[in-house]
Amino acid sequence: MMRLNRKGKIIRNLLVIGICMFVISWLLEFPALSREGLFRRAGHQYLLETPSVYLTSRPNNLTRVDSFFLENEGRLMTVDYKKTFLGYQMGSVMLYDPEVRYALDFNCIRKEGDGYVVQFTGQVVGFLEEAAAAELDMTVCMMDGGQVQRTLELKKEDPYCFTFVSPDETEIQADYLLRTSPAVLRFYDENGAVLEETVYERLNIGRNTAEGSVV
Amino acid sequence: MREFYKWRDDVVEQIRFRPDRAAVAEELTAHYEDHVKDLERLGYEHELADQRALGDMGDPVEIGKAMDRVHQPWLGWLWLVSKALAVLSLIAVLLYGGSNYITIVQDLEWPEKETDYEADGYLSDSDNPYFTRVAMTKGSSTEVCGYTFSIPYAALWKDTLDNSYYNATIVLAVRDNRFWDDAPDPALRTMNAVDSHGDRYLAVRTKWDLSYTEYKENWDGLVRMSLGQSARTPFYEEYIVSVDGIDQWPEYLDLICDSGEGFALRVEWEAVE
Repeated sequence: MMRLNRKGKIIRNLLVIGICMFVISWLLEFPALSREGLFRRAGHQYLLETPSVYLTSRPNNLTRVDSFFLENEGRLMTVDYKKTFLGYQMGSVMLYDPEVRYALDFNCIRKEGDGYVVQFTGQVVGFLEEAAAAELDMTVCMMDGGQVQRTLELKKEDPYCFTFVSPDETEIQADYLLRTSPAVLRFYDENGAVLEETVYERLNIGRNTAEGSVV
Repeated sequence: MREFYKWRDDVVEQIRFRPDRAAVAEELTAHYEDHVKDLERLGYEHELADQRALGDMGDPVEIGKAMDRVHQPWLGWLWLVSKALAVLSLIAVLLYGGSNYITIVQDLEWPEKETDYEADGYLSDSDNPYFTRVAMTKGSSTEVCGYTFSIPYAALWKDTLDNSYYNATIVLAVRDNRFWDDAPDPALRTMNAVDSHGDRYLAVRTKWDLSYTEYKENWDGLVRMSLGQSARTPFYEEYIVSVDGIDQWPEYLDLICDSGEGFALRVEWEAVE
């Protein structure tokens, strides 16, 4: 085999690096190099030619996959992604129906005993620019079969996102049976008037949407 | 020999790229020792051979500067860095590989071409003796959002058991030059179909979006279309679309996707003799 001079070895090494980077990129399903590239790719999944507008991004403690929240032609879109050293690896993409104005994510953070959810966090993300405050009414089911009403005050993180943390219910042995308990989400404007109210028949761990009634 | 070592040190001191100095010193030493042995073979005594060989090596500073011009620092550092990065890249490929190698293997399994479609294939239960193929055709094609959608094969089957309805099996091909992009799977799963009699066939996905009560009240009997991916490569994806429960012979069947820019593909049936 012909022995390479120094320049030849450098070219060979650069070729190896290039091929390896391409293979790694292939293994990661060709991550997008930029956020805009990721948004464009997500839009293609729904045959959208118009560019998507970035609203906010939020981590998801439950799935450990972060999400971008976007707007496209007035509709809410979510793009799950993982940041790798080669770019943004796209996860699931969802373009919501026009009547869906926001999505409520429920993350379980603590369980006790046989798996009862005693504390959780969550966020509401979407077209919430006009809302100044929000609250979530929930029914907490007790271990003894009783029920307690809880009202959680949401904290506005940015124009498009509210977050909340439930109180620690370990002491009272509560069980947030989220799959069966209904909940009401209310948004208020700066004057305290109710902007919008959404009734959820069922809330599940994960992302929830519901068409609510406008007050 | 001591004088030679000093001479050698004077030479390598001129080489700015330090990592190469050891190799150059080794080569100079080998060259010097060979010269000494040649002189001794000619009859020189050892000490005289040493002196003569050293004298023939030349001026150390001039030799060193010549060596420095060959062993340029920037080229040397580029070589070292590229070597390290190449090794790291190979390790990274092994680390990121794992079970993900399946992705590449599957991507390289090219699907059958259009001419290879079997006439009796692509019905989910083609072994079912109660279905007879009554029509087959190719559909139209269209380009949307950089994707080319086409129907290379479609077949219409008749239920011979009670002779009451038809099933359609349609191969939907999606091509694009963006190997980094997947097929618009979410958009395709919102497709529905309409036949020449105006009957609509909704996608199964629509059914799962509804509550049980809504489904029973509004969509009973209409949800009869399903879609499944059968092949996937970086440039080509293939789907099998099934439309069930077609009551009357349809002259044509339209596949309609309303998502984004949307598209519609028509399948006009040609009866099989």
